[in-house]
Amino acid sequence: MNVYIKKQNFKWRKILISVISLIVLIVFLNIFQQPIKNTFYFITSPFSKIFWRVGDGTNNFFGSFLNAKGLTQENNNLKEENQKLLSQIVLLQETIKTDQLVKEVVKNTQKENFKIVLAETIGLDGDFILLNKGSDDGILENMPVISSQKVLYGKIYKVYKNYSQVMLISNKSSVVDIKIQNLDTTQTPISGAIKGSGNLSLYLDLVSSNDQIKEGDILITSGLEGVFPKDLLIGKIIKTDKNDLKPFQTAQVQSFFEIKNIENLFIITDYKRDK
Amino acid sequence: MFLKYPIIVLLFLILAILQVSFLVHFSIIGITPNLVFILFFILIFFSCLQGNEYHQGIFYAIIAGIILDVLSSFSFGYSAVSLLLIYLLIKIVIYFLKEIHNEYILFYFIPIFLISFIFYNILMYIFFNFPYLRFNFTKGILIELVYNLIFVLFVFFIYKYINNKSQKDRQLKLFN
Repeated sequence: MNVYIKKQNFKWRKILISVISLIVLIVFLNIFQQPIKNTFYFITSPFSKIFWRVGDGTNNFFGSFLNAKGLTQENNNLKEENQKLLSQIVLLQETIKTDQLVKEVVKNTQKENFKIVLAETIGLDGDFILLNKGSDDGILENMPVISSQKVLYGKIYKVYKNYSQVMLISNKSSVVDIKIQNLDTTQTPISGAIKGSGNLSLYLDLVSSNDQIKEGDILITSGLEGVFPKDLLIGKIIKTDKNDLKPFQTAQVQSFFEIKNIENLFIITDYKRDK
Repeated sequence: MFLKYPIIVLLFLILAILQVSFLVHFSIIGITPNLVFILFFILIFFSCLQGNEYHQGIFYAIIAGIILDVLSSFSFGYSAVSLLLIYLLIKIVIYFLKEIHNEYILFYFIPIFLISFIFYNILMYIFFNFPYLRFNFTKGILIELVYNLIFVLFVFFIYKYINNKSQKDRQLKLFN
């Protein structure tokens, strides 16, 4: 009986020691979280970059076989869209010549005073991207991240010494103030918010039910929340969802950012808010 | 025997890198399989079946958990604790199943994997979103389950083949 009790006590002691060891280990890892993660990324980033490029190449190789049929259709759609955009440019040019108000629009959409840092994508986990620039390169949290085509990807979420994590706008915690691009300057711009629904998906919310939105509308940042500069591209509406019982209407959005094909992104390090 | 543990750690690392860099290009609506979890589950499942010591399972859970936390934006500990709970869950389930015949092992493997995977994702969701919890069943969850199941079955058959081969090699050969 004594031997049995001793054995049981020993077992409980073992469990207690294991639990305490685990807690100590977790506390230790969290205290040194920054250098541990930075070292991990430093060691694994060369391999990550290789695998990223191999994956991209493999995907393109197989994609060319699978998408051959759709390429012709996509080509025709792009030609059509190009024609539409050209006609809109002509219309804009005419309006610019004659309208005084448009001079102010041109002034407001002039190139912002941005300082940008080029960063390479190393990995993607859920709705977070890892870039190879960190605090040593002057990167700080909440800096906007865009592509060369001024497509908004997200903001810097966590910064390490040589690396930083970007929270994409498709993350469930992300909310971005937007407006709908409207070439008719006499109309009040429609505003709303883009919210992430996870898995690289977005949706439009908080658009007044009185506003008219339609498929194909282009969404751009409004700059109201002060984190992202204005006029950055976000996506386009693919399906509206209007319910008369709700005060706001929502819409499904196709984002302009493409994770699979992006290797280089730009971090805006010196965003100036409009006064 | 002692080489086994460094090899497993290396394997976890390689799979982690593959998960965030290579497989990203083969994602379905932004979903990629969780290779680290898949390897962890395979090791735990067979470890529990063989009646191995607790320390092996705890080791796998901590290593896999640390690697998953390094890749994510979470602080350390969330994944390790989740995987430890999953290890305990699998241990209890297999204990109550008592005897699993080799030919029917797949019929136990698939539901146990699905339950473990769902449980893991629920735990991670709770850790990340507490107290603002709002469970939404979307088709993404189904796709994630199926996608991970395909990979885990692939790894299952490879592991079983390697396991059977190593057991045959260890057997006494009376005839050449």
